[in-house]
Amino acid sequence: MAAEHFDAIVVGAGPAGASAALVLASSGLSVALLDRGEFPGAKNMFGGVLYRHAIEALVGEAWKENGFPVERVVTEQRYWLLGPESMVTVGHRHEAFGREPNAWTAFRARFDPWFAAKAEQAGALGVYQTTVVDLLRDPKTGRVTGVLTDRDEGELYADVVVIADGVNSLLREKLGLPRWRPDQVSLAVKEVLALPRETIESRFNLEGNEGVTIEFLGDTSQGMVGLGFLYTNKESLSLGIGVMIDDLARHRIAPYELLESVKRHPMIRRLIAGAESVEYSAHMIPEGAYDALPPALAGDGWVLCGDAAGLVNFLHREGTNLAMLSGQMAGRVIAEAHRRGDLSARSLMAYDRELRASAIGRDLRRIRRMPSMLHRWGGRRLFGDLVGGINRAAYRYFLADGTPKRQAEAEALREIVRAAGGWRPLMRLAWDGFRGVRG
Amino acid sequence: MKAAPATTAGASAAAVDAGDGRPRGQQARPPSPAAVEKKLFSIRYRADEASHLSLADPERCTRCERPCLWFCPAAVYQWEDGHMRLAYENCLECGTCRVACPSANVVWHYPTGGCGIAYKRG
Repeated sequence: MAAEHFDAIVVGAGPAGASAALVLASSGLSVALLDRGEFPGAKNMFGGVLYRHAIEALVGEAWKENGFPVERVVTEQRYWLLGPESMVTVGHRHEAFGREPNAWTAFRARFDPWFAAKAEQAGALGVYQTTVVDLLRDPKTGRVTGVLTDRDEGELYADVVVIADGVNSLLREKLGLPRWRPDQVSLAVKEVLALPRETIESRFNLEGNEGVTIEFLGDTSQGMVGLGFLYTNKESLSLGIGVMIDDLARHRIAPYELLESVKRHPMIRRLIAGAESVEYSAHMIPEGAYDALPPALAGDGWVLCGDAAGLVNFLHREGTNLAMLSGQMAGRVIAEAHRRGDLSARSLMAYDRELRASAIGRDLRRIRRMPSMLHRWGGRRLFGDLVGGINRAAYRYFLADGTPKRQAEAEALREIVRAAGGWRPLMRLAWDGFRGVRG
Repeated sequence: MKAAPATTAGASAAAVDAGDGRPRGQQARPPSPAAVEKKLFSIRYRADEASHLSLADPERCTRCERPCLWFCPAAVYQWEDGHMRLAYENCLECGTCRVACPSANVVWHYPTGGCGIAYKRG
């Protein structure tokens, strides 16, 4: 690879990078799509759910093709509040989700190669098994002019570099952006647990390719701020838990032992009974919402997309869709700037403005108070005490032991108040929680 | 090539309420790397020739509480005879140690292109 020049170089062939490359190549620009993995997706792991609206925005109805690499259509979403040996649940199932898919469960090592191939079919040059080790800059202006890879004569030049190398982005630090703080990222560990199709369908009350997602919180995070998940695939379950990294470092709990204790929880144990663990994985998730975004998402010769920018809506467990839409937005802005012949930082900043004004920016701004709220109250009070109190209240409410209902209800309410530490903290918590999700 | 389990590390203590001010679930001793070994065998790796991880100053680890012995999801960090051993070939490339090392002592490069972890599902 001798000093080649492209209109754009995209670093990272995940959902964000492949989307940017797809849009750029479709607009007639010369694009190199780089990834350090053996193939796109080789390094990637997620819960994981893919959303139709984002996939359609990029590749239209290609999801109707044979061989679209997803597992099950999500027709039901369940939320569990777990006590040590109990749960309080809410959920929603709708036949419409089966007719008109909203989301699918999937594996990234299977989806990402399919998606990156769409960018290649549009004309992007896929260059995989190639690690980008640095950004190249114009010595006078400081403008990013390309990337240095670990190949022989590994310089590649471009008018614009799209940085989409994921949550563990080394390139964003080469831009001078700070490393994540431990309270801005979580670590998720996951196991894929193989079970026969019929067993999954009977245990989760499913027909055909219907699927369920379960998010759970409470006793399972052992006093840390964290969220667990159990999703159905065709012939396996994805079971995992993510916890904030500051909590993890302080609590001294090994992630794999945390996962083992989740597997032993009575509400989970019976759903995974007899399953064979076929793959363990771990990945960080950006959890900082709006205030952890870099001051600018574009600059002189570069734009930042997907997890590398911190685009995850943890409240709604959305990430891959935000990655795809941010990549699409970046691709459009670059293509338009290229058409006008103005690739200045000022011109590329249209991406920053557009992203912040879009549903992505608006949703991340709406939950901007949540990370500090969770941090202030802490995992033990919120996920241990309070969720425990809610479970004890439910137990008291449903227990028929001759107590008059008025008294049983009062006792149930008292469990929650006590778990919150009194009326005043409970009111404050309700207010903080409301502000956390209302912006 | 998987690292052999360290013999010097103690067996993992059960997650119990220590009652001594430590958060619930906190374990007194680091878990044995054997606890994660079976899980790591489920993952496909293409081993790199050189470590992509190193320590800026190994001396710093001797003055540290070494939370890495707990938080690393692949037990890459192993404390043996007063030295930190890095079982880099087990690394899941999550980057947690870059973020969480109290003394920012971890020097992190990506493995050579095509090397390191290669999930089958992910």
